[in-house]
Amino acid sequence: MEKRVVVTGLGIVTSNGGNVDEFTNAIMAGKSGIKHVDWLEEHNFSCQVAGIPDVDTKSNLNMLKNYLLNDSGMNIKYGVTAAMEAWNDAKLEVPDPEGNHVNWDTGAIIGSGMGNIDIFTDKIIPKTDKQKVRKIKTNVAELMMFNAVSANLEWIFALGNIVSANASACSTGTESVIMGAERIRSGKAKRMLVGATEISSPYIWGAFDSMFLLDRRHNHAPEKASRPMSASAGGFVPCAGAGMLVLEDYQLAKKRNAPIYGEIKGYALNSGGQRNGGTMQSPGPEGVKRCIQAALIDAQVTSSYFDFIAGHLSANKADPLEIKNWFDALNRKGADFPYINSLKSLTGHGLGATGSMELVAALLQLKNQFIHPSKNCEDLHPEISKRVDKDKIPQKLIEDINIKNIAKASFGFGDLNSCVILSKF
Amino acid sequence: MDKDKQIQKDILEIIESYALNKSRIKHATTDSKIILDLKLNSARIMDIIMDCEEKYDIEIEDTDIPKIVTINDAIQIIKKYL
Repeated sequence: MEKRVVVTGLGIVTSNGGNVDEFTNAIMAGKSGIKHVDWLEEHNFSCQVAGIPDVDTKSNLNMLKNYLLNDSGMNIKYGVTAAMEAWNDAKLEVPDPEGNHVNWDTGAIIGSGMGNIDIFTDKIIPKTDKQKVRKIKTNVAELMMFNAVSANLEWIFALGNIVSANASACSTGTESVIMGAERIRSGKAKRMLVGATEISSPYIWGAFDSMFLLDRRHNHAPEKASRPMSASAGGFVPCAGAGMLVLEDYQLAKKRNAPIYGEIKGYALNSGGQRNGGTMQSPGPEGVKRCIQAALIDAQVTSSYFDFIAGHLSANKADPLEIKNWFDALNRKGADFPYINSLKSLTGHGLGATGSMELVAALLQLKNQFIHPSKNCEDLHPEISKRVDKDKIPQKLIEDINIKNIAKASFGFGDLNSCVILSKF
Repeated sequence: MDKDKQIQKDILEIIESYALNKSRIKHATTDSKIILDLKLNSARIMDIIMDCEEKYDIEIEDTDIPKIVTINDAIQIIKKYL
């Protein structure tokens, strides 16, 4: 018999909140974390705004220092900070780093879209190019490897089940949650730490700036720059950070009286084959529709089941298409369309980490029964307003609402799709 | 402070930065084995050597590296290059 999967812990590091409490307050208040970034201007970027979290607080550096990770890489700092919060939030004991006990039934799948570029640029390339390979520190290999975050979390939490790293561009964070849930559902693990991280780097963001994919019209007004669903959206705003979730077999969570944010009722992953409108850069409608509908079937629910969609909605020309895909997949329109918002309007787009950040936000909205404002879309795109009643796209916080079920989807370069159905527990 | 004591102090400061359990370093003696007794990740011996090289502006030859097992071994190897 398949196991039920519940979420028992959340952790987050974003530009508008360094932990779950700060983040909850920020999204309820519609507070943006997007700011002007001097080094983007110095590098002559067209987009000079971004969302960059600060994890170098004294208390956080002390926590990282306990694991000798205070001078590691940004993905590790973000990932360990958010994972430690999620682990503590789930009321789990943090093991002695020198102890012998192993949590054989607990694993981790922690993804990233781009990996540990900062380790290459800061710790490897300068020494290699100066012919000083011998001076490369011995921890650099373990910091640069793509699974650096999950391997360090394995050590910190003494994990003995699968420990791996996934990558599927901007679908990564949602995919990691699905992969972890699948592991529990099949009975191969009882608990999974899942999520994704992404760093800030001119060597990542430059590639998107050159493609005209980043907003370049709001360098003077950073908080207005990320405009999902707006007629005046000019591209996405990059951000960094991490979102982490502790998933558990419901029977285990119940037995230890763990807090439960919600149930992962169903999910689906697919790709569009980069055919029929799908390309390396854009999701094809048929693949998206199939992914959403497969998640519905997996959850054994119908399209009328949802109250709320936590959209991917990046603030580019794909937003109207995403709405059309939801419209086609669910066959709901106008005032019957579920509420929909975009976290990216407040944080920017965290690339590989974005799905896990948005799932943390979705679970907070489910647990606390609110819908955060989707900012900067007062001028809704006409292709969106013709399908969705404007009241279903909240400009202001909605509180005391009865949300029972949420659909969350992510779409990534490569025509990669993921969809998760969350239910109140 | 004599030369050996000063080098011992410098080495222990370097080792401490790679040690999870700092109190173990405080109780180290010249006979303490760097990896086995002080419970350091074995890969870190190269970092300790690199940091010593930087501290004393020396370059320890690869053939001398396996000879460093205890704190005293490290002191004697460093002195050889000073």
